[in-house]
Amino acid sequence: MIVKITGCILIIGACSYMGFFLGKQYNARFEQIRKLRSSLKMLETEISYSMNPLPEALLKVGSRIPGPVGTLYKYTAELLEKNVGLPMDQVWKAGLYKLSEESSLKKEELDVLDDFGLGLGGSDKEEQLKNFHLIQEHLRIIELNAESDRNKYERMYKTLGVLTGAALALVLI
Amino acid sequence: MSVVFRPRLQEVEAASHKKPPQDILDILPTPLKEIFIKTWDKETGIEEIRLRKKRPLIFRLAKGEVLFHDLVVSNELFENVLRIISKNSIYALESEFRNGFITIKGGHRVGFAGEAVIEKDMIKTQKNLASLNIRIARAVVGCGVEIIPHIIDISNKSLKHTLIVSPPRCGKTTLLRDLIRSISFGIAKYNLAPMQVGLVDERSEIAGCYQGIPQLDVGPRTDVLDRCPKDQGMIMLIRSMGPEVIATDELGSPKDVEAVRQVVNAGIKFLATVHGDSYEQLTKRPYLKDLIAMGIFQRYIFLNKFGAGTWVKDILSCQGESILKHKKT
Repeated sequence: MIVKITGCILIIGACSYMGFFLGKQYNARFEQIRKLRSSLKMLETEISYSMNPLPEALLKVGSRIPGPVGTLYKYTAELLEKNVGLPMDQVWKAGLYKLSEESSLKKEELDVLDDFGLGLGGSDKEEQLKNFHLIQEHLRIIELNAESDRNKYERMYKTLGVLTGAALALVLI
Repeated sequence: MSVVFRPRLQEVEAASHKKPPQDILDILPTPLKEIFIKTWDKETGIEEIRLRKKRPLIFRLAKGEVLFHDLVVSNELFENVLRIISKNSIYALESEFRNGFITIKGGHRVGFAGEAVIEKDMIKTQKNLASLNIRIARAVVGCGVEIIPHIIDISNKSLKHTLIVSPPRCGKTTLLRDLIRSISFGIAKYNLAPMQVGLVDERSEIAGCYQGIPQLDVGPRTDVLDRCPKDQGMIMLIRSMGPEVIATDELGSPKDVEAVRQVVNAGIKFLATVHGDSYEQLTKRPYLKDLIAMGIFQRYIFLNKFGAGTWVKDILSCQGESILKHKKT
């Protein structure tokens, strides 16, 4: 009997954890997109007002943004500093690869970021600002969708986890 | 007594030319880097790299130029160099494009020419760049050794107000830099105590400042005001840094004249260069002739081109009399 009860508790626990984990991803993605938007705004200011070159601008933004989004900036800044002559789009791609591994971001927003990287730094201020406006526009829409996804699925996954666990336990008993 | 003027410390110069400068190698993309190393002259180095879009690559050496017929500068190569110089941040160079040059690490200068963007009758920036000129900075340490005794005021243990005169590319700035360095260190041989030097480096040519730090040796007691208009800079230095000597490059605008007068009136010694050929020509130049008429400059140093006989053509006194010929007779 004790064995059965322990088993049930373990199954319910595991399933609930799975549910919570999956649900949390939706929240994390939403938060990260929001951080991306605010960090890009900072980078835009660095470029248009302070006119700092990218290695410095990226490092500044990176030190003010915590989490994987901050790592994107710190990592790219470091790469640029170490490899004089490496093109920005390649450095940015490497940074995005690292970001995709560490964050909950999906291909949709990573692709937008990738496109953005092609134009980063390679033109005058006006062109740079256009590039920033474009990505902010894209990310705003993605952020709205991510928010509604979060509202829809976060609780659903959490309840689903507990319920599946309970159901499994019942069946096995 | 005959005085032979040549940059005496040739072994110093030779040593500094043995290897191509790393700061230049860092900004060159691979194909260019290899050619640069191959062409590097162990004795005189390379003075300039000329990149012009869709035209052959040219290196300028002390002996002449090397033109590469088979290496036409492609858009890609050109943009690559520009990208590396700007640290991937073309937008940050707006004011550099406006001024026409940037000083990179090591004190080397890169000049730009393209299509000027005009706003309200002023150059706002440049776009569609098509020419790059990478000028390799070189400090010839010790080249002013022979000149120093002529510009020292022995009785006052001080310096004479001095003007260095020559056509472009004769080494005016090189000489000025070395004189500044010597004065800033102090010259034991002539019993000249070290002096505080204020340097207004409007075109970043003398000290070659990169992020505010002089990349070429201008001595331990030299304060550099980088990129500052000369007239305002000289007066600012008098107020802020308490210099004993003020040095600057390429005198000539009407505002400079008033500033030089203020410097001299403040009891500060003055050291500068100016474009020109002869004393007669200088006395006809507007603005400058007023200063000469006032007898402000106590020494004029005229230079010949490097390699064309003696480097120093003549040294004149306040009244325009040669003090060199004086000595010979």
